[in-house]
Amino acid sequence: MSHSKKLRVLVHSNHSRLVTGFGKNARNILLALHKDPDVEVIEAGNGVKHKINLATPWESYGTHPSDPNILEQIQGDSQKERVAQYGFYTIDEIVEKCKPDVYLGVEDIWAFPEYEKKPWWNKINKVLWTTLDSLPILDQALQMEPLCDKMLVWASFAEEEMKRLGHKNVETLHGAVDYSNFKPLENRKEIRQRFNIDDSYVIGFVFKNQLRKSVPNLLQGFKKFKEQNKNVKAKLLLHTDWSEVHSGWDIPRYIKEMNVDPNDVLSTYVCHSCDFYYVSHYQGEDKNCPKCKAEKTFKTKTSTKGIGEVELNELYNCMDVYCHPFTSGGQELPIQEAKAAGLITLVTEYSCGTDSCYNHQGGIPLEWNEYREPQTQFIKSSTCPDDIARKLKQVYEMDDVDKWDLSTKAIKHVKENFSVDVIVKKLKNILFSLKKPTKEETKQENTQPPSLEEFLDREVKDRILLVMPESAGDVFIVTSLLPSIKEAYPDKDLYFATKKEYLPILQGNEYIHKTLEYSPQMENLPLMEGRLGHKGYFEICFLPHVGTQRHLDYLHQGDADKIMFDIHSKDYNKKYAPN
Amino acid sequence: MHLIERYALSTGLKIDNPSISEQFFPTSCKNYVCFHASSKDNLRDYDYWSEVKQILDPKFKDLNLKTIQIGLEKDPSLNCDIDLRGQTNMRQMSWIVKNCDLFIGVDSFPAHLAGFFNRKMVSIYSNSFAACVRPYWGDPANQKVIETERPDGEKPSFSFNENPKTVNRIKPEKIANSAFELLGIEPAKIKTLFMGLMCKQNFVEVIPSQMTSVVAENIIVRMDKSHNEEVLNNIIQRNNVEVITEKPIQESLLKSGRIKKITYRSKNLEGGFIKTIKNYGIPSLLICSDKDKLSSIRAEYFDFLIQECSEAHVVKQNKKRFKENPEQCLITSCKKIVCGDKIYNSLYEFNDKKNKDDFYIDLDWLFVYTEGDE
Repeated sequence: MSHSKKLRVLVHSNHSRLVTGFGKNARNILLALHKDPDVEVIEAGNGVKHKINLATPWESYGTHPSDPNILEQIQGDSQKERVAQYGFYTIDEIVEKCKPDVYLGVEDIWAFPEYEKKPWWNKINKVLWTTLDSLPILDQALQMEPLCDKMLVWASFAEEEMKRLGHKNVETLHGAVDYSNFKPLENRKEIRQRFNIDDSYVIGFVFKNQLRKSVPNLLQGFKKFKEQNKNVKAKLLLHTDWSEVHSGWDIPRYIKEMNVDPNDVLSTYVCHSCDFYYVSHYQGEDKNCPKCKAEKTFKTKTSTKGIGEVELNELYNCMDVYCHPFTSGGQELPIQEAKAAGLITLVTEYSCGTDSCYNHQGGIPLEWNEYREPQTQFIKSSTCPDDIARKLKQVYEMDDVDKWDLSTKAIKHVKENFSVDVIVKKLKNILFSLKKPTKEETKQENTQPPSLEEFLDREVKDRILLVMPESAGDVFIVTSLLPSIKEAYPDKDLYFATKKEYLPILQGNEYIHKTLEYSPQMENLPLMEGRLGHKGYFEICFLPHVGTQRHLDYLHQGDADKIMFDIHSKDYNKKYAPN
Repeated sequence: MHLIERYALSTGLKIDNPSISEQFFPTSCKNYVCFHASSKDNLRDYDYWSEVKQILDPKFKDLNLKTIQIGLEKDPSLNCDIDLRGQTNMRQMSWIVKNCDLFIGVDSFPAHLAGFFNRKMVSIYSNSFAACVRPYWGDPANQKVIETERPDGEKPSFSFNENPKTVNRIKPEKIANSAFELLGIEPAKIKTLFMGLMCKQNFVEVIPSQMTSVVAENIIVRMDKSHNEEVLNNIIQRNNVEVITEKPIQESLLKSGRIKKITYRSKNLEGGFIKTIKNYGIPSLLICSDKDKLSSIRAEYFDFLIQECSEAHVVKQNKKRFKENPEQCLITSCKKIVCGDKIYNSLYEFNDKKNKDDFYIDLDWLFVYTEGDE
């Protein structure tokens, strides 16, 4: 196999085995390009550790740093930790190692901070394929567009807006959908019977439980539909992570608050042990699996454990209509999956929804009202519950011919615009058309004074604090400095602070006035010794541990350094001194 | 620069002698060796103390020296005559160290105490320069400071995340012989040749060619060595097991819930068996032993992690790591090979040392050494 004849493409995205939108797209693209005789793919997978064997059919690398030095460097710095997740600290090494012809970055735009300064950026072709979900377009995208050979966006509204702003090097390329597992099933009646919903009008929504999915709007629309159509036995199936109440919606709470019958809102449970799944109204998490009897393994889906695509297709086939209200989105894969399964899709007519909601796309648009997202000022949509109820009724009352017509359009739309074959063909054309490049922590300061005062005697000027937070050994050896403190500051009281567990070492020490339990505030010297109007607590606060426990500034090959003056007292046996 | 020198320079103070008011603790013996095996972070914990003790104990017995272990309750036991783990406070610990005949331990508080009290002592260092953290007080002639082996000018890690731990590079006889030297005793003639990273992990591998009465916590049934489902069925009546196999195993055995992991290694991995393993929720390691088919099998079963068979590579690499003749070495391992009612220290021994590849494949599970004059 001659590498030089093939185009070496480094695909940098969510790892292809992650069950995320980017992960699924990466999987589809990589599997297809891997088979292509003209292309050699290499994967840089976000979300997995660097230097572990990913066992993929192609050359692959995880991107999250595994080097303890880098991990130490980024720990506690949220910005660094975030970019580390996107491979910022490892991508240079990966590019250097695999020497690609093209770098294809497939992530949110903020995953590529200062990539234009990367040593390899101007030496190879680079394509960013990113999701943009709201207007106005993110500044980062506008800044990166001229710096890459091509910018691809997942939704056409973003292309239109960027072009309107004069950014011409942009093209829409939807995320690739492998819809081979998504199709109308002949045994759908049987599947619905399995879950006791065969005589119901089932409205479905498949989503990750995030605040941008308009769950309250959908519940309101569903409630209105029920109120307006009392003879219809309607059920709302929410295939999502119901337990994700901290970063998503507390669905049971909303059901109760809106006075919706909890038996009308269905969830899917999957066994984390045997993969068995079942549809029923929500009954909490950590149930015992009815099939394999494993304890506490039966739960609603999570970000790491869901149902397989064959089973997800069964779920779509349980539905009569698919409803996807959202504030904005990059592509929303479940809409295409639902269409491929032959469902009529109701989608908010904003953001990427405009690629899926019209009649010729097998969809029906949902009306929305604009609101601005606090902080970012982005335009977001609030889907109208009244319109949800109206469109649900429209589908319910549709005759079979109209339904068939829309369903056929939906399947065709996905096949022609989102399928892996179509997307990979377009992508390949783009990659081969690129012109080869020419040579060329802020630690939040806690200024709240600790309630130290009550432990201290006499005046500030009469007090010295010695802080040694860690290790029994260090506390013990540092007691060798105490005679010298007494000699240098005979009139002052010495306070010694360490962690509680080391205090017994100091018990009965004649040089110590009082021991204190260590607190991180003691490392704030201006707070301890005073600043502006604050008089402080101690005349002197010694922090000798900073050079050994916070930073290492004493190593010097162990003993290569020299101390050019006497640091020992007359009582120290100098023949033992190493220096 | 030593830690205390850094503290002195940082504060502008002079180094005198440290102080601690030790507290009496009854020990029921006059002459004893004090062991301290563990540091707070576990990083400096040495895994070969039992090997060290095996060398030391007979001589200590001759000298009528008892052994006492101090430290935390959670520290690993060194099977000392008197076990004081978790029973002393720091000041009582100080009393015990002050009165010992010999101290042996890791880089920690008691080692500083032993130095200060000028006890004969052996202490071991790994993730930092010993010069920075060694005992600062006491006569150096009484101190054997052992720094871990760092080949090719390697420097310490200064890290609390070492994997594998560099302290484990210290050979047991080096510690034991340092103690003997301080006590004026002839050194032991044991020579450690190799310490496998996993040689301290307890495992039992069963070759299921015969019925066995084995009962253990960690059992691997080597169906790849003898595919006998009757014996496997018998073993899982009493144990949870892991299985290594080259052929599918009947579903009733998978259904038992006793098989906790399967390593399935084959030239032609059977999709049906892989899916059955998944259906029963059994964790698996899938290995394709045909390099030419690997890529296509990975694409076919993309949702499963298919690993490359690495035995030939392991043998090649391990031959570079271990250059002595295995036939002339002694082997011990916490992984035992059981066949019927017989127990072996390695697959290499089980196969009458006929196949050296067995030795190299298992190298990381082995502790290899020689005894006596070479």
